[in-house]
Amino acid sequence: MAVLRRILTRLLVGFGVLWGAASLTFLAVYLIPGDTALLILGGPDARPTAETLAQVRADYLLDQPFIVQYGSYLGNLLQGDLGQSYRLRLPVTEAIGQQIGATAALSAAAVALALPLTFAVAILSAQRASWIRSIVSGIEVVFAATPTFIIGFALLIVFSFTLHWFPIGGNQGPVALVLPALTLALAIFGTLSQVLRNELEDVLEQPFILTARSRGMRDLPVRIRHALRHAAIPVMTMSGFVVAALLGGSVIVETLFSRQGIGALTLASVYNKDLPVIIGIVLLSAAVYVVVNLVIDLLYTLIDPKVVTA
Amino acid sequence: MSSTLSPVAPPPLVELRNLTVEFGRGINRREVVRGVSLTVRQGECLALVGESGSGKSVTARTLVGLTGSGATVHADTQRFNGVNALNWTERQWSRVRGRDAGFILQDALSSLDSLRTVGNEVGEVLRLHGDLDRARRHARVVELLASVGVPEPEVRARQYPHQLSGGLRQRALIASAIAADPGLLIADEPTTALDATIAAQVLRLLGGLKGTRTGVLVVSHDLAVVADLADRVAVMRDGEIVEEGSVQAILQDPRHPYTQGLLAAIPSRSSRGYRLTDRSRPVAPGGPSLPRLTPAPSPSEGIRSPAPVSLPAAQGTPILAVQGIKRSYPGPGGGTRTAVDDVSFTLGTGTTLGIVGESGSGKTTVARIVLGVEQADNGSVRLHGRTWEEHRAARDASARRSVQMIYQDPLHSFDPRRTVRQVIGQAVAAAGTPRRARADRVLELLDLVGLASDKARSRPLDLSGGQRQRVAIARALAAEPEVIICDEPVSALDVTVQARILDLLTELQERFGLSYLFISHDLGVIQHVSKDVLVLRDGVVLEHGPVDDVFDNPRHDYTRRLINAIPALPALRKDTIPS
Repeated sequence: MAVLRRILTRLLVGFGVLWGAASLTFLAVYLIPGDTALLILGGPDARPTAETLAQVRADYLLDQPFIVQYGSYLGNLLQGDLGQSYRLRLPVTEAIGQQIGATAALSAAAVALALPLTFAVAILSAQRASWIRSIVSGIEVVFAATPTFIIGFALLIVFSFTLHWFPIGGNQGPVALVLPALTLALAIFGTLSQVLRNELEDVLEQPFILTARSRGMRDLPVRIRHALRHAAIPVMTMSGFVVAALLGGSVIVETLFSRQGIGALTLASVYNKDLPVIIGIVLLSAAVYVVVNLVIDLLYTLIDPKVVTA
Repeated sequence: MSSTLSPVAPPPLVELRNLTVEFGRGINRREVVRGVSLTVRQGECLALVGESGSGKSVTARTLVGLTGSGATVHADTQRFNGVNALNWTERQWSRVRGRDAGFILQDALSSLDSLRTVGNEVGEVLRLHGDLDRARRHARVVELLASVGVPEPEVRARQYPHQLSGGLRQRALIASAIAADPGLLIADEPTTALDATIAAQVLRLLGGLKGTRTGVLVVSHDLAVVADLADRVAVMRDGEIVEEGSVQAILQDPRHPYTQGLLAAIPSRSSRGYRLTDRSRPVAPGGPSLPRLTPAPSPSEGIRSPAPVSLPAAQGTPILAVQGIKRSYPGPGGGTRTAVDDVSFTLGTGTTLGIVGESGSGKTTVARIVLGVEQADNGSVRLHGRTWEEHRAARDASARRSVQMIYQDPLHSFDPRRTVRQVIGQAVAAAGTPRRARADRVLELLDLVGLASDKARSRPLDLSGGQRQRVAIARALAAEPEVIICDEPVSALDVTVQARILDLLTELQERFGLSYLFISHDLGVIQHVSKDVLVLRDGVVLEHGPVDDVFDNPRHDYTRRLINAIPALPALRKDTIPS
């Protein structure tokens, strides 16, 4: 019952977040200088006639007051209509739908690499001799601090240009996914692993760990069965960081490895001021945040029996 | 082990000769245990008694190879069931732990994994050391919980530690320690976090576990707690055992001055009227006058009402009158929970009223209402005959200041980034002391509470528990109070430190005619400090009267149980008090 109420509250809040994101992007687009009608018709180079411009303004309600435009925008959104891409002459949903699979695969692969790496490194290095921790922590700082495109370049130079193990780019098959996913994963691992190790080290000082050891449990099982669940709770709170790293990182990685995907679409849309697509991507990102946070929130209730209140 | 086959007496459960434990390296090296030797045999209970930092817990943990990271352990002999355990690997130790030695830590809330059910925690030992399948393990867990006196063990096994009361948690922890039926039980402060009646039950439970084949090592800071349980006592100080002997010998004829001081420092009825640190010095009756520590600041601005009635009052004149206060809170499930129900008492000038009650008895709510930070639903609190509303209406800020409070753990009431000077200075400024006089006033207050002036630069975290409590007292004194509410002020302190703080409070009462509302769960402390006592349970006053009357003729069954729960120090009281 409490869990159900919690889900409902969160869904409501999530809906509010989406509405806020939609409104803010709309406001931003509304305030951007430049003639939207001109953009729709292909930019200043298209040299449209005054009649066509007026026609487009009327079609797109651009001659109406702000509140009317906003209302029609929200109304369309509710029906799942994000409008037409100026550049691709496609509905925005379709433009995004074509690209989302590639990015989802990339993100999933990155997470699938980053999480086991993070957990393994943090569990094995927590509370070890200080030289071990210094080395591991140093490596993590390098990955956390280096910009994604430099990590990607380094991987390309080593594994593609020199060793020829992996293709330098493209979307062909799982082999082409390895380096881009690894690039994203390393950036996530660098930060996440440090947080997890710090948490683990705090947890390993707790009396219940001593109790577990006093029962005859060996070191690794103590870390995995007792300490990890406690340490994982704060790390889950960082899922927002992970989502940001994946969304932001995909723009860079997809460009660097000349892959198709949402990131590449974002970049192209920004270059071409393809506003409906940009709005669509912003809304998509917001939706991903909302869903991920909802899932994490439910995971809390599974992991921590004390979390029951909404 | 193989040596159990020998026809002669079985070897001791543990044997330790000349144990030395160091932490850290180089200049950070600290010797925590120095040359400790001890033996625990089957069927006997050894108590390791000492104050915090004496190395008693480290010694106990070393017995099962859990000294901790960064420790260097040396010993001439370390035997476990007659087998040489020097240089055992982690793998060898893990086979012995839980199976041959059970370990019970204090504060079961943090000693049980909060994310796992109680049943899982207790069953873990069986999973590690037995070959029972899941269903039979569960059945055994329920059996174990029942055997340590946990009611509804089926239900409890499925609950999480935070859903159990402190006493039940401690029982569950004991169940987990005895699950594999180990020969040796090590209990580190097993009752410290518990209420007196619950602690007595847990001690009885532990005493029952000491069987013909089972030996117990109990570690405690409290001699009185272990007196009933232990056969032999080893007193530790600064990493060394200073004295060891039978309970009778240690309690009745302590040889070492440290042990003597430790025993004398235990507050009780017979120590009332004397200083705990020096029982040859009686306490003078509370001063009849209220000398101001500094001249009161002149009211230079605004219109102030006449000064509060702080004329010299005779000792015993009521300064504080609490009449029929009642307070309820919304309870779970829409009902209300009455925390305080019709509590009345008066506090005489220069006297101490003890308030006794276990957790949840409403004693802290009473304190908050008296302090005026919480409103009573019914009833009144009058200071010098005026309620807090009337004081407020009269714009009399000095009344506000004349009631101060000190807490069990002052650390939580200090800003950790501030120095002692700033902590006290803030209170001095709030008391209206002129800016240029403040620095001197801080030093004066430090001197009053027996702290050296160089402590003004320290931060709370760098101070010991006793020093922190002194700072808290100095902060309370800054307001020149007439009443100080002491909420478990010595509960977190070692017995000798507790003695010094109690003596300090007594001395301040003598000098300034302070009145104390003294809240404690420790009946010994209450009997030592109080003139009158109030026994609270579930928000209701069960007993109220002169402390000896209440303790000699308890009217209520609950009070009798409380009194019986006081750990007895056999024949100690008369013997150790200098005539």
